[in-house]
Amino acid sequence: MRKKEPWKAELANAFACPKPAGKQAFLENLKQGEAPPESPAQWMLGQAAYIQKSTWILSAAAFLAAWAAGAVCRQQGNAQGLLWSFAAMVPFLILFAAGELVKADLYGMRELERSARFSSEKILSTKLVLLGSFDGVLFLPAFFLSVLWGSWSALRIFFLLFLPYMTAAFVCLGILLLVSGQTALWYCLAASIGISCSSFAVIRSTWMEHFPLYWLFLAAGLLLAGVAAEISRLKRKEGIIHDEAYC
Amino acid sequence: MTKLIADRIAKQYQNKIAVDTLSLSLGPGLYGLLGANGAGKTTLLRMLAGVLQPDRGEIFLGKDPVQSERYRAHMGYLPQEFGCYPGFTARDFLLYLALLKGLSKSSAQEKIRKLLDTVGLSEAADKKVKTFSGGMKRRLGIAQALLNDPYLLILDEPTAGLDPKERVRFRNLISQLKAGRILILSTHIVSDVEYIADKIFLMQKGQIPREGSVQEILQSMDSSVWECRTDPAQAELLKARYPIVNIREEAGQVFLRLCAREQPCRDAVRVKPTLEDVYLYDS
Repeated sequence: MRKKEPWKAELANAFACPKPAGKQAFLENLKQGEAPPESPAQWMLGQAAYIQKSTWILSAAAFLAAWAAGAVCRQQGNAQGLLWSFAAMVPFLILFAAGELVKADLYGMRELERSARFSSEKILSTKLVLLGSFDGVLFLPAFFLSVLWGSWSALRIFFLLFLPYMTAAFVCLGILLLVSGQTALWYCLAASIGISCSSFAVIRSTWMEHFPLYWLFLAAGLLLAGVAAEISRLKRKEGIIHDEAYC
Repeated sequence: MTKLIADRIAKQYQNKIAVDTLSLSLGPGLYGLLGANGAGKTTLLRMLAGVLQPDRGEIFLGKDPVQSERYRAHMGYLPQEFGCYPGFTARDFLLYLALLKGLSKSSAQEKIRKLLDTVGLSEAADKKVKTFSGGMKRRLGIAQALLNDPYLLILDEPTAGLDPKERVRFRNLISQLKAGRILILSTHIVSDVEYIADKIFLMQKGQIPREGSVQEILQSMDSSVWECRTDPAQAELLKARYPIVNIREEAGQVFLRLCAREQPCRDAVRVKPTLEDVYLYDS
C-alpha cells in the first residue's frame, strides 16, 4: 500500500471542511414535512367535530318534519304523500350544507384556513364527503319508506328523490361559484324554496306516474356530471385567492 | 440554511400594480417590511403565505414551491385581520387550527398550553374569542401562527390596534421568536421594527426602493436631513420645495425638519437621520 505523502496530510489539515453548521436544525426541519400524524379516519372525525351542530340538527329536523307530513298524508289516504314530502325536503339538505361551506367567509376564517398545512381544497372535500354521507343516511330511510308506503316502482321513487337533491346541489354550487358570503346563502335559500315547490308540484302531477324512466335517468346523469364539474371548479376556487380587493 | 426565495413576483389588481416584479432571497433573521397603507405589503405577504396567487413569478422555501403542503407545513401566518367561528374559546380556536396544521390532538393540547402561556393568555384560554380585546386577539393570532413551530413566520401588521404598552410587549415577544427562523413582519409604524429587525425593506408603490440594515439605510440618507427655525412665509416656501418630516410652531417661528441634498436655507443645520426620516422621505 502506498504511504500517504506528508504534504497531502498537511494540506488536508490546513483546508479541512468545517463541521456542519445547523445540521440539527435542518433535520428538525425535515421532520416537519413528514406525513401527517393522524389517519384519514381521524382527520374526518376531527373535521366532523367542527361542522356546526345546527347543520346536523336542521338536516335531521327537516327529515323528521317530512316524515311527519308524509304520515299525516298517509292517514288521509294519500299513498304518495310521503314521497311528495321527502322530495320537497331534500333541496333544504343542500341549503344547510351550503351554509357550512360559506362559514369560513362569513366568520373571517378563510385566510387562516388557506394558509394552514392542509389546503382549503382538502377541507372542502372532507366537508362535502361528511355532509354528503349524512344526507345519504337521511336519504336511505326516506327512499325505503317511500317505497314501502307508496305504490310506484322503487326506481321511479329513487329518481324522484334524487333529482330534486341533485338539482339543488347543481344550482347552489353554481351560486357558491359566482357569489360569496351571506349573499350566496340568501340566493341558495331562494333556490331551495323554488326547487322544493317545483318538485312537490311535479311529483303530484298525474303524468309523473307514467313519465318515461329513461328521461329521469338521463337527467340524473347530466346533473351528476354537472355537480362533479362544479365541485372541481369550487375546489380550484377554494385553493387560492385569485382576486382579492386591494389591501 | 433553507432560504425563502421570491423570484420576480408581481400582482396587479385591474389598473393598480400592487407588487411590481419583486425578488427576495431571505435566510433566517427578522425582516421588517415598512411602508404606507396601500404600498403593497399585505399583497406581498399574502403571496408569500400562499393565500394569494401571484400573476407572475415563483416562490420557494428551499426547494418547496409555495403551493406545496411542505411549504405550508413550515409556515406560520398571521393575517392582518381574522375572525373566529361563533362559540369558539381561545383553546377551541387553537385546537381547530392545530387540526388543519396536522398536529395530533395530544401534542396540540400540550403545545397550546405552552403557547397560551407564552403569549400571556393562559387565564383567558377558556373564554370566548369574541370577548377578547384587540391586543388579546393579536396575541391569539401569534399563538396560532406558532402552533407548528414554523421555520417561516409571516406577521402582517401584528401591532395594529395595540396600545403602546402592548406594542412594546409584542415587540419583545417577536424579538424572542426570531432565533432560527425567517420572520417577516409588516408594519407602517417605524418603531415596531427599528430596534429588532436585522434587515428592513422599505416598500413603496409595489416596489422596494430601499433595503438593508437600519445603519445601511440611515447611511443612504446621511447628510440629507436638516433642521431649521424660520418665519412662516419662508416655511411655506420650504414646504413646497422639500419633503418635510416634522413641523411645529414655536413662539411665532416655525421649526422644520426636512430632507434635502443641499442646505435648504441659511440657518439650516445638518442632523443625523432617523429611520422615520427615511420612511417619510420615501413614502
